[in-house]
Amino acid sequence: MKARPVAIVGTGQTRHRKARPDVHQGEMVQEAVNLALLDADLSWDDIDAIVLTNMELFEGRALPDLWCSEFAGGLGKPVMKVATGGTSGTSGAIAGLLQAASGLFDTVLVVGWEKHSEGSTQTGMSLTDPAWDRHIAAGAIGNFALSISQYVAERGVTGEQAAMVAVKARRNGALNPNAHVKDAGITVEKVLASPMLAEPVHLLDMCPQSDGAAALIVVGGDKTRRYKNPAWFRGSATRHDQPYIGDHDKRMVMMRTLRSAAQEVYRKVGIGDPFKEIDIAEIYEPVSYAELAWYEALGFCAEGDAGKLIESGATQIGGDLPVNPSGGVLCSNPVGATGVIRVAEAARQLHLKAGDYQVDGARRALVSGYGVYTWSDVLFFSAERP
Amino acid sequence: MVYRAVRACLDDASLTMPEIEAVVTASADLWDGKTASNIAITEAVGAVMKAETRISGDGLLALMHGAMMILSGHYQRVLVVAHGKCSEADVDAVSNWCFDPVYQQTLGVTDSQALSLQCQAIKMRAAEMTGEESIGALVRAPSWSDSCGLTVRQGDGACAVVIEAGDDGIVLEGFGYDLDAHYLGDRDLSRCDGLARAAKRAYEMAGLPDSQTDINRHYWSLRAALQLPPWAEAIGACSFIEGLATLPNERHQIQWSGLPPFAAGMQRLIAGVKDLRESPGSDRSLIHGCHGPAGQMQAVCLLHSDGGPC
Repeated sequence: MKARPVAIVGTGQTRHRKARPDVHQGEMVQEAVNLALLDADLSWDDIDAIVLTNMELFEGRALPDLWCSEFAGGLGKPVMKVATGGTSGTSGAIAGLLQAASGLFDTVLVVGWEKHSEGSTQTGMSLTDPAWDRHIAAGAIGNFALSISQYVAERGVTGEQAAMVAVKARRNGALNPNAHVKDAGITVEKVLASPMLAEPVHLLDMCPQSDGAAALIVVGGDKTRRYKNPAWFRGSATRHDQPYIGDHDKRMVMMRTLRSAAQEVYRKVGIGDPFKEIDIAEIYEPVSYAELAWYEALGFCAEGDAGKLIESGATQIGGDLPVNPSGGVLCSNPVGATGVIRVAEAARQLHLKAGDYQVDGARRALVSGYGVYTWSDVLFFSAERP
Repeated sequence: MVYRAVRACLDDASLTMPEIEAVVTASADLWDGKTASNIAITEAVGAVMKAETRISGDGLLALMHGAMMILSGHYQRVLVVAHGKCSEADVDAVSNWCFDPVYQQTLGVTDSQALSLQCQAIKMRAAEMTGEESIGALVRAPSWSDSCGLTVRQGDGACAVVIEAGDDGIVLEGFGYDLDAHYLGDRDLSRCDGLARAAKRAYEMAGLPDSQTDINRHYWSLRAALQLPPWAEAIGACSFIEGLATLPNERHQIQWSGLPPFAAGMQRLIAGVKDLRESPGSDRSLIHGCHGPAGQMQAVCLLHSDGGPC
């Protein structure tokens, strides 16, 4: 069966912040949805189905979709919630794209959100498998530090090279009005001078926790014709893995799920040399070192060359392959929305609506999602209709 | 628990895990007491180095998403797994947390209380329509006259099915789902508009009129017997008054022995599939699933068998 072409034609995001005490979850969702509808020149009545993404333990709300969906215009409509940890947003985007591609719905709204300020993310992240991991789980940072230490030992990347990722992100974020963390004047020295959280991870190497929401409008069939620059969905791949910490050797070094998912997508869309054939990438980097490891897993450089790649400036805006021109996860991280933001930012580049961080000549965009330390999504979009 | 269901499903389908392209799971985090409750079942559902996505809700929604993955042309065969393990959760507390935090949660409303409200609304509607104040005089089963009437127990359980592209065997010929208003006061709880919309979508997809003439059995995943008359009315099976007097019956089946939350719809689907397998000729069944307070989320699947092997 040939897949029905579908495209993202509208995006909307809140101004992501440390806390949004001025709105509740539903109102925050509504902000993003209204902006996406405005961007796509549609109204709530035009939406056929909705996919929501959120991690409910982070706010302590059970099935928050039952309440928040009305603020997304979901009353009386087919609504589903996708929740897969950090990959929720990219998994939800894939779900919305496939639902539109199924032909059952012409217009699908995907909305992700998180309001970390209303919950305890540390607690939420620690409520993993009760038999094994819960006893040693303590949020993300220590877990990352284990993997990063091995990655540093294996690949020889330096703290300075990781800090360059953080500098790139926060300077890009300064160009993005929606970014939570932005710092045009940040330097490598400032990153390295920031408090050490868990060797070798400094405070400024880490992503923030943000309040925010993001929405996408996916259309298929004749509905695509009225749009000038749709971001066409070309393919996706998902890989999950068993999540037990001790069962994975070289987790970040190899990141086999991301590597495998990327290879499947490249095969589907005919990408032979990702570094040369991709114009822009929005990847899920929860910590600076992860972006370096993902360069290798995504085939942007040879194994062990990620440090050289960031030093070359090739992944800066204006470089050969800009990575996270929006500022990425290091600048905004409302977890249930973070993957949706990655997709939205890639689409905005193809829509030629990225403003001060628009990448010249952006026609092929790659997105990755990351969650539960080992899970990966990869999506590919192009300006050309498949 | 989940692995046993998956193993039984694969054995039933004579398939091995490598033959499964993708997995869709259904569960609810707080009912399991876990963050991303699919984390603990990655290996059990065979999702290691495979595509998996998790629908937070009743398993019938996961089934429908799996079907849409196949209809999209991106996948050919999908394993769908739903589980609920509410024995590990404080269900009253957790169900209170699924009400909006501004109005309803602060009132301390629980899922059981919402169900009681709904049953009260159904009784009042029956009394208004018939002039008979005692519902015991109206309904088929005398035990319906107390509080919610007979309620279906909630338990632990897991269900798994394999779906694949094709026209043979038991065909999922239509499905629909719908989310109704969240605020209990915004809904007429004596009816079920969300179910009516979900059923309409399923009938349209299957190319059936909004009537029940071709549907031989209905597999309900409701919480209380009193929900059946208005819900059967919502799918066009009978009038509300007829439903009070005649339901449940052989065409409208309730699983009295208990249903696991979030796997309930899938459990009913499997019951329907088993009956269709034994049916000698053309046969059609309607499967119902729901979750949320007083059935806020509704789902309907239509299964058809031409009597061939499956």
